[in-house]
Amino acid sequence: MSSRKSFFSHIWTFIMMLVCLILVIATLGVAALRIGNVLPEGVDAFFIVAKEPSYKTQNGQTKEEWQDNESIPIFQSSYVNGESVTTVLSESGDKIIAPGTVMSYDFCICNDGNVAIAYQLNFSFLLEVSGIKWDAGRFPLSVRLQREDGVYVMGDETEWVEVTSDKMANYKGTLGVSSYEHFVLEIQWPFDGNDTVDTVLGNTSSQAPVSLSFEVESYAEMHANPKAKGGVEVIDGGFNGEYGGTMRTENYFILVAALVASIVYVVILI
Amino acid sequence: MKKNKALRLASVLMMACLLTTCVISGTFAKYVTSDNGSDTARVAKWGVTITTTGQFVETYATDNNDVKGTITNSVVSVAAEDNSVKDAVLAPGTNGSMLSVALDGDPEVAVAVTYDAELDLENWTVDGAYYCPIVIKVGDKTFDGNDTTKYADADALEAAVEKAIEDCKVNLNPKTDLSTVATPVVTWSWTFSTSDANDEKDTKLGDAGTKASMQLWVKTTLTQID
Repeated sequence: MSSRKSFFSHIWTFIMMLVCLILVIATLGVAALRIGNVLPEGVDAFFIVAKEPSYKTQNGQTKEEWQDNESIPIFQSSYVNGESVTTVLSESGDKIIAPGTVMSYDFCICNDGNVAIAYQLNFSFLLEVSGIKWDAGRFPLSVRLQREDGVYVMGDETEWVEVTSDKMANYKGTLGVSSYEHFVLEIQWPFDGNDTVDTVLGNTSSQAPVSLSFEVESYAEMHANPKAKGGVEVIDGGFNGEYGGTMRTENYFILVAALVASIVYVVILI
Repeated sequence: MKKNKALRLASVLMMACLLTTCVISGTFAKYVTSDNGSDTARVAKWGVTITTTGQFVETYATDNNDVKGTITNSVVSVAAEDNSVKDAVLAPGTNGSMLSVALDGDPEVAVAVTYDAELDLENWTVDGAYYCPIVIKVGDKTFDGNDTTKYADADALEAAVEKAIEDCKVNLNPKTDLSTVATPVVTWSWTFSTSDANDEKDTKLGDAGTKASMQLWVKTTLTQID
């Protein structure tokens, strides 16, 4: 009876030691990840390279990186129609918008970090009359967004997405390491829209300033899967290499298993 | 005693698990950064006004120097018995402006100015034959109703005048001062006497039970050019 009890005691001790070992390994793995995140990019420490999520937004034409509150040149002071005739011209040279005008802007989201990122694009409009906010949903604008591969992620070749609120439906995407996504954003004030509303806005503008502000905001966070793919991958494009503290799925499973085992163990002991 | 040690160890393990789980959660959903770009534009000005003047009147001043001062008006419309409102009239020797359009504004968009005209000449017949002694001018173009070689009937005269007015359409560049834009000016005249035969016809027009009438309707439209 005593030897049987001793046998079980050894078994429990073995299990306990095994759980301890697993937890130590898992903890070290997690610590490696944490260290990898904290370390400066590219610095090795115990075979760990820092995890450095980073991205930048660029002007698609000039490739210049956006600065804080970047002024994007989407509106113009004059517009030319398909017959090369100037049909809209600002009297004072400031930027204007009118029915029939179509504007476009190229921009690029580049992942220059060493982990995949999940990003989001938000578009917002603000219509003001004499500095007082108007309901932008009443503004007869429509937009569409096209990727470099020709795929429309908002609207399509014939259909535009109407601006129905201050904040437009946003676009979410994933960018793998050393990848980019190039977008062409188009905004139009349809010529054959609501003539009554158009005329009211035009007449109001002749008496008081009616301004439209447009903002595109991009933000990103590290993707749950740092190895995720997305966007156009640049081969030897000068982006940063992979980080070394990859959070492997198996590590996570081991940790969860250890947690479950220890709970079971405690329950049995109690 | 053994059980207490095991419990303590288990508690330590539990704490370790919880701690490492917290550490893991910190490695997910790490905020990176954000960029934003913006631009602002003003709605292009429109602010266009159209003023139309010119109409037939109820009275016409005499232009005969011999009688001027003693007979102020050569033509005076009489109110109907059941209506105090006097009709606008025309008679031999009268003339006037049918239409004058004034535009104003300096829109920041290209503009198309168009006119839609409709001239109605009713009952201009004498003894069953077309007779219209009215001379209509659209700008510098003259349309003589007496010239039956050009205008065989009232419809032909109407069509010619309407076309002349509608041909005054013009496309304007952005920032054009609309007050300087030439617009159609339509005038009319009924010559007092051109011949004895026409005097007789004029008289029959005046005596006719259903009086001849003339009406001009012009719609001026300013439309943005795409």
